[in-house]
Amino acid sequence: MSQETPENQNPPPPPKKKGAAKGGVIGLLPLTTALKAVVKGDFSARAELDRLEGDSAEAAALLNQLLDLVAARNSEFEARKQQTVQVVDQALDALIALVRQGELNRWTASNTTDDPLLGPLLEGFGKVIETLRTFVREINEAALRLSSSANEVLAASTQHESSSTEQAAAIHETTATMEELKHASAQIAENAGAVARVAEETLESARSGRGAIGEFIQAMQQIRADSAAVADSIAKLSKRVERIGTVVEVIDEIADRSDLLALNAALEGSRAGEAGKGFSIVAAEMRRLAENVLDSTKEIKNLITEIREATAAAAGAADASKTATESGEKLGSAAASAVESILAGVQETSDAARVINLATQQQRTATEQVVASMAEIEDVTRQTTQASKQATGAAAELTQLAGRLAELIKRFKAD
Amino acid sequence: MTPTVDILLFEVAGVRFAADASQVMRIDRPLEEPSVGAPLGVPHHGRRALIFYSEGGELRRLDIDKVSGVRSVAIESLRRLPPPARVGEVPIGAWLDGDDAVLLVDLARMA
Repeated sequence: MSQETPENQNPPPPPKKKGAAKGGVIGLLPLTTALKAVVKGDFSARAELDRLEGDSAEAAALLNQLLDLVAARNSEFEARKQQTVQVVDQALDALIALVRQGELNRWTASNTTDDPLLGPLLEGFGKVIETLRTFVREINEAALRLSSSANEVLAASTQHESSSTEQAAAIHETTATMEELKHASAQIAENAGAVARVAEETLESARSGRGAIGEFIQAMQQIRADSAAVADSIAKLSKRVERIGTVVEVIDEIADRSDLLALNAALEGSRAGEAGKGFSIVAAEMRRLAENVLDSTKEIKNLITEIREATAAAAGAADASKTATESGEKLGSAAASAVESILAGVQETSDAARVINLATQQQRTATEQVVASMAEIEDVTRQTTQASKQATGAAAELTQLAGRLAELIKRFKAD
Repeated sequence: MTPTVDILLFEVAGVRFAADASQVMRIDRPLEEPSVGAPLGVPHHGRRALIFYSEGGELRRLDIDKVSGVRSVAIESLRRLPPPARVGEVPIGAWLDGDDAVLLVDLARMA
């Protein structure tokens, strides 16, 4: 917009030189009157040219031209001032709306001015408003996301707190169970130790039994040998008894014949009368001796019979003993085999018991370590639960803050 | 002086008998051939036999269990059995040996 300056305007035509003003007495009065009015602020005042002449008229014409120029400039300034005031008012309204109601939509891009000084300021103000709008939009979106995320964090934290509480309860129960398991493991280890000791004692007993059975078998063999010797002796005794019986039979036969001879001698003595009495006495004595011999042989026969029965019984006993010892040897061998099997089984049992004992010792140690670890885990879980509660509280507080932020951001209307 | 007689005391099946010693020729062991039978009962084991002559003069053998011996006894101590008390003809009397009664037999009458 081009502005007219006094330099590029056509100068007004110079006043007619009339040698003097009408009347010729006025002087510079119109000029000073106009200047006084101007000094008082009346820029509409003009010097009356008709009453001036010469240089005064020319000066008054220049003054009037100057006042016209000032008036034009003043009008232009007023118009510009009005426009500036309007734009500033709009900016103030937008700023007040922003401050009071958070409205950022009051200021539009059409709010511009031609003022070279105010234009950049308004442009900057518009940029600030636009930047605030962008911030508000982004903060609003971020607040919504933050609220959503805070809700999710709160839900997750609540879930985590619940899980931590359940986990803590479960770990507490597990710890209690492990504690019981520790006691049970200790008891099992003690029992396993007792079993191992008993198995070792059983192994020693089985070894002793094996030795005893070996001695038993040797004793059986010795008894069998002795029984065979006894049977042999009994057979020899039986033969000798038979021989004695034969001898006794001979003696008995002789005694019987002697008795018979004595009887007949007594008969002969009886027939001889007085002369045969001595003979009869001798015969009677002889017969008495023969009867004694017969009684003795009879007694010997009875003894021989008893000896035969006894030897037969002894032989039977020896045979029975032999059979019994053979059976005893077989039983001893079977028992030895059984004891060997038992010994092998007991050895395995003893080894297994030792292994079990060692395993249970390790189990007890491991269980104690697990119990200690569970106690630490329980402590950590307790801390985790506490932290979860704190996190839940923080998440709840964060949710409240996010909601508060969203509420605050809602106050700013960017669109 | 009281007259005496020698008697031979013997046993058959546990019963004591006595006979005139002069009737016995000898005392022997039992043999296989038949004897006079068992008029005094069946001997338990018959280890002895009395050899004597019958009234007909035949040599006979009586199997007995035991010969107790020859003893001289008073004739007065011998008692004849009354005929109604005799069983057969062999037992003819009795002799009391203390409280025991011993039957007297006549060997010659044994067929």
